[in-house]
Amino acid sequence: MSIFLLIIIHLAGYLLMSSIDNKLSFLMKLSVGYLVSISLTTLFLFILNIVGIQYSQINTLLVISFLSLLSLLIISLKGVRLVRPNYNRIKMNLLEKRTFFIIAALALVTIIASAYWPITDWDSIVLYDYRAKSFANTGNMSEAISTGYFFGYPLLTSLAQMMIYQFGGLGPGIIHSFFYIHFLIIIYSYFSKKIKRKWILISTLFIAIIPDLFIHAQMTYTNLPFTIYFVTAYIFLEKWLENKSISNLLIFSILVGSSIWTRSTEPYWVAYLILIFIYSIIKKKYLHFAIFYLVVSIFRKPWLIFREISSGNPIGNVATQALSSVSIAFSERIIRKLPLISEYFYRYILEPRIFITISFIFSIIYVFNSSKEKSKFLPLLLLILLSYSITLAGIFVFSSSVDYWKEIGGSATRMTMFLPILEIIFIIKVIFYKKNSNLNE
Amino acid sequence: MIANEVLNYENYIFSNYHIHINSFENVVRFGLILIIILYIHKKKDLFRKKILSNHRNFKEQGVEYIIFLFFILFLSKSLFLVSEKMIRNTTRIFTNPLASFSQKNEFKNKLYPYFYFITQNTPPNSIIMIPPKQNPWLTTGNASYMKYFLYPRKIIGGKLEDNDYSRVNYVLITKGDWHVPNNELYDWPKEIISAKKITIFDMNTKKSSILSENKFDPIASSYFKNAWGLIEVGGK
Repeated sequence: MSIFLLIIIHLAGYLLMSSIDNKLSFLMKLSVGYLVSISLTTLFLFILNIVGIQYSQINTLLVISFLSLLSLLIISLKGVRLVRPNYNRIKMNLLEKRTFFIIAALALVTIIASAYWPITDWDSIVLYDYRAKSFANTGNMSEAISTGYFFGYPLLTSLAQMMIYQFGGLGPGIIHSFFYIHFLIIIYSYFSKKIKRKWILISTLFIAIIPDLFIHAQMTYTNLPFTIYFVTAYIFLEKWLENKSISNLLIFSILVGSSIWTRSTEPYWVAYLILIFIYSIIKKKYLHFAIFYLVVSIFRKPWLIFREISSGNPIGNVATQALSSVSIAFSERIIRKLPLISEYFYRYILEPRIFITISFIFSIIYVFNSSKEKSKFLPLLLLILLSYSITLAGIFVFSSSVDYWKEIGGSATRMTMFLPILEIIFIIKVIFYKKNSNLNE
Repeated sequence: MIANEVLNYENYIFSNYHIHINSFENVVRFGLILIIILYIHKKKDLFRKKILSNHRNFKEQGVEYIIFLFFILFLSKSLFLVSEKMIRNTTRIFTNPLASFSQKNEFKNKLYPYFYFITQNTPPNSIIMIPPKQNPWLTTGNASYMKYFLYPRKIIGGKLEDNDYSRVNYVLITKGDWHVPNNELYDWPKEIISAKKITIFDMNTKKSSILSENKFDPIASSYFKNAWGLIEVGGK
């Protein structure tokens, strides 16, 4: 039954992506569709539950069917024809075959491990999977709310795992393995337009063997889905900046919104907000900024409002939050804390990926010294630098407001696991990016 | 080596062969990087032609070499970590492909047989008191953790002493799951409780035995020293 659920999630996702942008390749529609389908289904289930409709297998099926029918309606109104998969055999040389085999083996291991092992990771036991079990068992959220911790993180992963329980599966980690596999397909499709053919699979392998990514594909934490939504959002931001298509802006906004629906504690989405804001000001395209903010709010607001009403803690808007955080951070003497915060930042953010960070720094030097197309690298560079700034500011605020901040450095490493991926994409683009004429070499 | 450790116990390789796995990994990694660098040096013309750009001055090529060097260092580290995780996670799968849900849990969690024993000996609607969340009961005393394994039973966190046992149906007997230097600190509950039934669980044999006593007295009875089990509260 879990396999049936996975099939209909994929189908709904494919139809959703076809209804938004039919020009995308079959693989891209299937993979991004999976991400969007999970995100929209869980968001709908959550909103319906607030208005009194219980979590149940039939309601999950109805929501997925509704999304599929809505997509089909849009497809028929637009009059577009669904793209069939391209069955033309890709001729691979020996190196490509070997690389493909390694990537496939990695993907297979994550699926086998997720299907085999029960949940054993601490955060999942005390929060994410407990909520999933409770939702599936009671059909509502009151039991999970009463046992504490509930409002720490939004519900995307818990509701996705609940769906697996509803359909009789014992290994909810399978959802996360598919996140990993689809992310690799997205990366492959992305690189296939950017770099020489012979390097596409090798570059995908570089991403596949990022330890955090591979390890989290066999866990049920929120960090992997967040990372995948966040990085895939960048891919669509780049697409949108290249072709100015509203559908790409829409997909980008949905993916950023989905990242917030996965983890809202760290405001990394503000990096995208700043980028879009700067772009809108420079190009005077204020409507694009409005579309982005509106779509992101659809994902962000229901959880915030629900949390505010249920927990009784007023959350406030982004500006108020930012101001209060800054005032907390600056209420103490910064100079006194600076050595401790620097050490923490190095130990948990930089040091675990020190080699890739050094390589990234030299790639920046290389781009600004040698490349004639600096502007092509600018959005990604800005996104990475803004994310580092948000991390540093977050550590400042966290160190001022939480006493045990130094004891949970592991979470800081996990929450920034998207940074090495963005850095590797940057490095690969710098190393392997060639002019279009050479793409098929 | 990693597979051997998974199938035996943590630190098995170091205890028996005096080889530290992580340090050994560094030696192998260093050797691998050396081989890659020597290979690139040998085929430097091909490397320049195929990978590096061809119109660089010395400074630009130097930057490119540094990018590559650190990228290779990152890849070698990643390959080892991923291989290690792969072996750790799949060794048990290949040696026990048909393991039951309980067995799989037991491979990863030494306390799982005890949790399973509790679920088999308490009705789903029962209320269970667990030890206080302090050393040495940091795991069994953690209500957020215990509620997952004992779901849908209700969990109530107990105190070291002066507990109101009338609110609950069952009380856990736990030696302690974390190490403490002073043996006196182990064992909970630390006070007398009148019981309908007392069941002791042997963590080694995974077997349980019902005691004939109708009172849990940790001082008077030697049964309760370093014991794991369950008290059904009530009786005279």
